[in-house]
Amino acid sequence: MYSATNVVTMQTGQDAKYQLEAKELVIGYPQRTICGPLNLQLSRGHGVGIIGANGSGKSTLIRTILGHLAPVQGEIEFLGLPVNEDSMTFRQEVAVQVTDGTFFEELTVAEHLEIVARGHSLPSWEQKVQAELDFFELQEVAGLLPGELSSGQRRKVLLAATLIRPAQLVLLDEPEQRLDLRIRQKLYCRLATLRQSGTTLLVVTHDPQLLRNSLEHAMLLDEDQGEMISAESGAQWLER
Amino acid sequence: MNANDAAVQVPEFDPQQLILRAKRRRNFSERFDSFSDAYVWVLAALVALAYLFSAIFGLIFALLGQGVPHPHMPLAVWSLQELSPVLLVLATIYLFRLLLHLGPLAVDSSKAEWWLPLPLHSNALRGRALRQALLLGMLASAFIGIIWLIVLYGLAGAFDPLVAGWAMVCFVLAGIVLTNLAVVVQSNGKQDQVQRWLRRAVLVLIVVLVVFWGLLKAQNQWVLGAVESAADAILQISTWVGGTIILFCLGVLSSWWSHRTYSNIGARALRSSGENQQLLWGSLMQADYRAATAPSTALIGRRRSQGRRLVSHLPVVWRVLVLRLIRGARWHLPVRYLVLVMALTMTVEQIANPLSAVVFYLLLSVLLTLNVSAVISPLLTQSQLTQHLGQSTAKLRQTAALFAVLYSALALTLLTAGLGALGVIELSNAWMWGAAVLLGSLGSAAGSLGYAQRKERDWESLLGGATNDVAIAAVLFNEVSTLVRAVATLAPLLSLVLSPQRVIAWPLWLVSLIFAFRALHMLVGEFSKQSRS
Repeated sequence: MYSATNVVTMQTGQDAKYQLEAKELVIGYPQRTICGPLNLQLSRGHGVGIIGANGSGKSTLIRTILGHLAPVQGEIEFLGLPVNEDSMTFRQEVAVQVTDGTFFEELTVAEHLEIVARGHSLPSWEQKVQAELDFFELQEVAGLLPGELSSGQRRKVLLAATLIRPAQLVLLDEPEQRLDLRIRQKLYCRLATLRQSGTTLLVVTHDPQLLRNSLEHAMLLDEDQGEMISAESGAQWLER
Repeated sequence: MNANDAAVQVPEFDPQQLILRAKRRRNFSERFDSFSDAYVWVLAALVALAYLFSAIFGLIFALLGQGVPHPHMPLAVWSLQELSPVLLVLATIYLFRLLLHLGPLAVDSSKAEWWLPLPLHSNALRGRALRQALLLGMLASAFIGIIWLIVLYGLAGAFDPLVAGWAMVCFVLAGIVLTNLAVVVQSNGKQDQVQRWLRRAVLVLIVVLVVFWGLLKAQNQWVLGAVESAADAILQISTWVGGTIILFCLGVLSSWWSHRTYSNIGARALRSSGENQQLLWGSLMQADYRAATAPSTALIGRRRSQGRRLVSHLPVVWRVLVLRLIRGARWHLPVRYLVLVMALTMTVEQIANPLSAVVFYLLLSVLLTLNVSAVISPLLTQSQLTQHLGQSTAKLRQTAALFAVLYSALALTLLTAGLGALGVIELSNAWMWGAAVLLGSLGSAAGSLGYAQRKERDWESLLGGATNDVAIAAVLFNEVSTLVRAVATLAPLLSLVLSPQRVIAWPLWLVSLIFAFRALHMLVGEFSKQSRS
């Protein structure tokens, strides 16, 4: 287990360069600090779950990493450069599902996946779209509009759009929410495979199974501090 | 215990009493604040009405092209005054549609959340909703009446307070009748069907107008007499007294009917109507029309397969924009506007004049700004959505700007070509016209790019922070700056409309360029950012 004032190095392998690095990061709002200072260094193929009680700052951390919120203090770098969510590199290399999501209300489910696949110039995108529709069991609603879907189906479309595209880093905020058990099980395997293929995962979760099956470590946000623990310890903390 | 027994034991509870008790406990200063708020709103409404009067009189002045020579249109048979009864019928139909859309009986979300699930009779809640609906109907009808009377007297050139007074009574009674009818429709859950019938009624009205136009063109004496009589009758007091008597009887009858049926309105209908009302009030309070006019899922659903083939080879961002345009039916608005402009110019006497053309350009510019902003808005504001597309923000902005310029240029070109073909404007110098249309398009695009990124407004802090008249004026100017930007870039175009033979002064080009700069910057400047990122 790592210390609470943690400098956590998770770098492995030959490559010394971190994909994502947060240094002395304090998150929150100008009038209210939520958590920190945190230090987080993720290199290729690592999977970290962010866990903690409601209001501990899990989603705030993700939003700060994405640049939606300015850090109160400290800095965040992606591939050695300050995070700039407007840049082409960031948008091409980082896949994000952080909220219940917004949609283009005029585009069908299949068309949403198609524009993501084609936007990232995926070869044989038709097959990839079909594969995602199959994986998330969305074939029957492929021709429906977002406004015609249930909240669970909308969540599945967002996850499909996040996972259909190539990415070095995948950020997910409680991906298990609203999913039925079978899809959850498939998602655990999918994320584990993704990580093994070299994609880095940073996932906010309340699901101990997701931690155990798909990730290596957990960052426990508790008492305004971040503590890096193993995935199993994290799962036990969630089950306590 | 059977169901009837259970129903009998349901206690009567008036949530309004709860509110009244809470209100009684408010202290004097809070009451004074409420009075002060009401006073400010009444004052603001009066000022707004004064501006509305001026704007409508200015519009009538321009449409009639006072003192400006204009060509005679061979197909023109109407006068604006003859068309005013048609305007009245249209206003009635659209008011009824609005009332149906708003419920008219509604319960706001907090009451719906806390009170509707309680095992209590909700008659008190419904009664209050009915009173509110009647008030809304009367006010809306009276407002339409005021505007219509301004138009009428602006055209007639003389004001008769007695006729205007009786007319206003008619409008208020019409509001009551329409609200009661809408309540009956809502009680029977037939809103969708009635809305369909009302849409057909508008089409029938257009067909009747076309038939009358044909008969007038053929000098049919009966139609000539009928149109003249109708135009004269609306200025006669007897017409409005008769209308008042009829509407009073209808009001009594419809009130009895709506009171018999309004308890049938289900909680779901009350809740969804509450959402619609909240959306409308929110849009009015925010002075942002986008939420209230967003196409419904049902409407988009009917067009879900449209445009698929058309966009199949387009880049993804263009694909999104074109599909939003087609499936959201957002192109309908400018097309309908252009058709209306051409129809009015061709068939109404005196409208074919350069001053009217100026009004048409200004309105189109404002309309384009709002219309295009609704199409491009997600690309500029929904970063979590566009993040999936794998395109840099600079690229997205550039595409949005290019789309806005092309769309605006097409609309402005069609208006220019149409007015030119009708002989209302003189298209002698094609290069000048081309340059002016291009600048106008850039201006509309700049306006729509600004408007698309408009965020929620906290008027209290905005206006509260303004300590003097100049600061308040600055805040208000800032609010309309996107529209000002769009309109200001039309300066060379309007100069060409009004005096086609004269060379356009360079300051006009300069002003236009300055206001169009934002769109130019997005088109060119973002390109370099894109290359860097």
